Amino acid sequence: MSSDLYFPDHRHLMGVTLLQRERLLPEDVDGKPERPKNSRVSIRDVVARGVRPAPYIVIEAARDLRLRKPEQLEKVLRVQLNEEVRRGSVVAGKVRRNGSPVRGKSVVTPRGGTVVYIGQGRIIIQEIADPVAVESGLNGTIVAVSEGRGVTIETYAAVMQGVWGNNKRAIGIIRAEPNDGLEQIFTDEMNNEYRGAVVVTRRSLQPVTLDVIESQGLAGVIAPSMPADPALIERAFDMKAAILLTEGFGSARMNTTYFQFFGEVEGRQVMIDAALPSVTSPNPPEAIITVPLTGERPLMPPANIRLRPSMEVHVVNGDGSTVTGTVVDLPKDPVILDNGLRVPCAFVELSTGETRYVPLANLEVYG
Amino acid sequence: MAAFTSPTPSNGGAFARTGSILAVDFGSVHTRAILIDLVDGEYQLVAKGKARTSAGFPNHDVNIGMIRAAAQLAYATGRRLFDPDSERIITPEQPDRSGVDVVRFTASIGRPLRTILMGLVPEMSVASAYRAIAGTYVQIIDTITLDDARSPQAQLNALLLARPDLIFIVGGTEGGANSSVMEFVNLARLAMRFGARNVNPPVLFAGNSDLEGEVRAAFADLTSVFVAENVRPSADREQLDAATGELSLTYDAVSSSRGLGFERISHLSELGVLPTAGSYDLITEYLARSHQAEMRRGGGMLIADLGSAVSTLSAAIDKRVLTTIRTDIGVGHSAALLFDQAGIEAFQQWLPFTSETSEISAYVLNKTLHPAYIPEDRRSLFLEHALARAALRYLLTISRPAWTVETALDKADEPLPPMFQIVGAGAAISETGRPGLSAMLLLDIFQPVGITHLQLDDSALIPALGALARTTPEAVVQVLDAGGLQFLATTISLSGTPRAGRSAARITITLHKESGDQTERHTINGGMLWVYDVPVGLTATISVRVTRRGLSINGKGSIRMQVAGGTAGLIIDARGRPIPLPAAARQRAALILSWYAQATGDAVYEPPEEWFKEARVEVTPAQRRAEKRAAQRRAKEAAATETDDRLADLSGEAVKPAPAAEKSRRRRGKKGETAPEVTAAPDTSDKDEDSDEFRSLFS
Repeated sequence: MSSDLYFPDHRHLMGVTLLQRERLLPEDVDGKPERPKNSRVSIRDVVARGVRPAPYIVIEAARDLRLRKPEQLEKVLRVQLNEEVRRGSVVAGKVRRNGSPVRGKSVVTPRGGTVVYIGQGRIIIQEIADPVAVESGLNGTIVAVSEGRGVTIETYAAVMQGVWGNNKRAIGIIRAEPNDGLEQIFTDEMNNEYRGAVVVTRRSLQPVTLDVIESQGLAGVIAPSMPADPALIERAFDMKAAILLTEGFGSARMNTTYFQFFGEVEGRQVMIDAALPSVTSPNPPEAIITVPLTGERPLMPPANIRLRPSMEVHVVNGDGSTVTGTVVDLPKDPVILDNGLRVPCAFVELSTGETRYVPLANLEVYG
Repeated sequence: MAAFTSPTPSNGGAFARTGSILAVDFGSVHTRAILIDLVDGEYQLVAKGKARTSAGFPNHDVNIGMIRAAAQLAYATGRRLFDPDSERIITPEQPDRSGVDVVRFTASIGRPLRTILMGLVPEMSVASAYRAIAGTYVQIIDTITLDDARSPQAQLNALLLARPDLIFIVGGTEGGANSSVMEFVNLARLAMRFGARNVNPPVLFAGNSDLEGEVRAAFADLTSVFVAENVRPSADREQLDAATGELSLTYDAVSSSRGLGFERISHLSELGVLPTAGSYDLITEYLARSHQAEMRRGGGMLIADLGSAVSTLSAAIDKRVLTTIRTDIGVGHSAALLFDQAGIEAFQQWLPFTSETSEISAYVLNKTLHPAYIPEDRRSLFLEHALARAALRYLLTISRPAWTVETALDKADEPLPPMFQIVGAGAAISETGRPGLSAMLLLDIFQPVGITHLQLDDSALIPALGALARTTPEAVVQVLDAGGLQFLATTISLSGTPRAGRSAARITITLHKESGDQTERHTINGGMLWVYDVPVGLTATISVRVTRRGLSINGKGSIRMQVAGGTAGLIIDARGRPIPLPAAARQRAALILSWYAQATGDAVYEPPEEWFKEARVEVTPAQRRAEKRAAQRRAKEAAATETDDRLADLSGEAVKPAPAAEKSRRRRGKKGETAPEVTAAPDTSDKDEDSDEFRSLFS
């Protein structure tokens, strides 16, 4: 990989920009968009609804009623296609005057649901399906509709992208943690100051921090890191609040650039999409912040940023932390690192004043 | 599994001779492009390029990464490959030498084909179907057979709720069972009829060919049906090629429908986008066939691709090729899944320092977040290499049971059967920039015995050649013959347990140089990874004799042979088998660090003393106070509960007095609870300052 034709990883950190975000139903959910193209949506509007597939019940009615031919089932049916039935309802055969089944001469459904198939002597009922609704999460305009899946919304907002999320979404007001840390609001008496807020902490999350998040009813937390403890991660997944990490796993503290960014947007409404990252996930976990649009309307952020000297970058370290730096030089040949590897590198001056060769793969551009 | 008997034409007569070839492999992290062209009438690798795969944010289009990789080819060769206006590959090659004649795509990105397999007998057609899926990214999410004890309702729910990408139906020998196969067909049809999915999954039928018409008719109005030759035409015969080919085409179709930009490029190649793993299967077969003499002597060969999300191991053993693909083993996206399966010991045994679970798991989880990360410091390097070793050793362990039937070779704890060739692929192994390091990693992972030739596929040549094998086989032959794979080293590995520091073998090397032969004699001590520089292009005649009882070179006391030069030279691995890895960190460090030094020729690294201390957990004073308060509260709640319990007990029967020892334990427990469980790190005052700074910024 040549250093003069290198396009590093890219994360957004922008005061205001034009964004397009898809809001789609999960892959296993069938449904439809709720809003047409070009309609305006608010942050809490539902833009798509669907149902999660529910199990099916196969009732061998012809066999249970000892019918000679499956076609005879039609004559003794007590339900029809698409009819909703309750648990214990008679679906075929004889019934008493009060509607109750006749033992040995009627067939009842073991669970409630909708009749989806009748034929070949069988009645198939789908259990009541779980409804799923997708909120817009943004104040903007629908610019595309994907049939059966959802919509794409366009908006102007500030955006910060992190590295990991607990697969939750949250909407709230951005608040800074107390001076002594998030853990200081862990009191026995109720404290409503942070309820429903999205709190930014500069410290690594600890088990006690998760206690605070739960007990105080925070909508979400933006933190640099959390220990790589499976129990803690499991707990984070189980929490209602959205958790977004900006650096990674371990004890890394928040990069100064992010920390300054959140200082500038405190008090504003934020939507955290703490998506769990994957190879092809549409976006990294991110925080989209509603900001007033002043002056000219910004364009979409660039997607093809080639690494060049004098460019500001984030250097990713082995412990997951990042540090800001400036590219000083891009050597044409690979460089031997202190650890013995020989890889393509950039010569970077870090914000700490230190200069060093950094593998190209460890650089991220932001903007 | 592929048998060596399948025909692959080796001359160009049956195929159209094409000109320039652009082959692109889309991995989870990198997109690699290579340009192959006719030079003096022979196919040669002309240029290679690599860029980050652009399937995810912010491009969501694999084309972007392909254009970036191909731009490097254009830069290196001065040829124009893309039309900037249409942003498409120029094909065929133009008179001004812009563009290429043939384009081939392979991909390992994206999730595998989620497939439900329906077949009659687990030991027959179902077993054959499992072998047919080797070489493509198929994940069997459920198997429905005649032996399935589930009710029809449960089977129906399995079909409907799993939402497969493909239903693969096999079963019935030719002229054999009909009705049982049709029962499966009817079940699948029923599921599709009221499944309420916008698009039903396609069906691949590779069973009794008498049923082809009925199967097509059953799904006519519901979904598309692909039909392949019966995978098990008779009880003692298996034919997998057609089913494997259809699975590849289905993979292409599903890949295209998933977005990521594949739909825009798939049509440029008449074969669409092929699964990368299929190439490993094919090229392993080709290489094994090219080395029939070694195969006849009982040797085997391996190709291992260690990816970020997917890893593949193809083995040619006992005249068969067996490929294992695992989408949960990798050193990037799949690192955490690997960690869960392989266990921490698989990592710790390769670390030259005392390591805590938290450090290893943090490194592993951070690799899933930054899969392309390259370690900068030594500690990270050892963690990275431990991850690579753990991944491929685990893949080897789970692959071996399928290699041989009813022999000890398939037991994971037995020494590896002799391998005359091992090829490594994947950035973690092939892109260390130091051939000696790459060779050492391959030796550590596979621990071969006897004579083994180590090679690297550092250009992603194998995916490309596999994609070319069916249409331009002479390109495969010529590019491989021209040294397309990097030859690392000939290695001679001693079996047995050599004593460290004592003579294990003696070697006489005669290096054949233009200026004349140069002969040297060396004694190799036990525990050494002895590396001798035989430059590429030179040959040497070597004579190796073990000097201690209990040691051998794959059963022999001495060997004499000619070796070709390699980028890592000639390696005598006198560490013994299995490679000894002491439990004590300090002893382990001494060995591992010396092997790194021997492999690279660098000085032995002196580890800092803190590498052998127990790690401490950093906790801020605020967190410590909060932990203390939380513990106090928990203790208070526990005491209250205990009181309640006692009251409840008193209401029933008399409470027995606790034994003194138990009381004492309880007291100690309570006392323990009030103290934080973690060791406090010394000072973090700067953190409080930061916090104030943060506060002031917000205000």
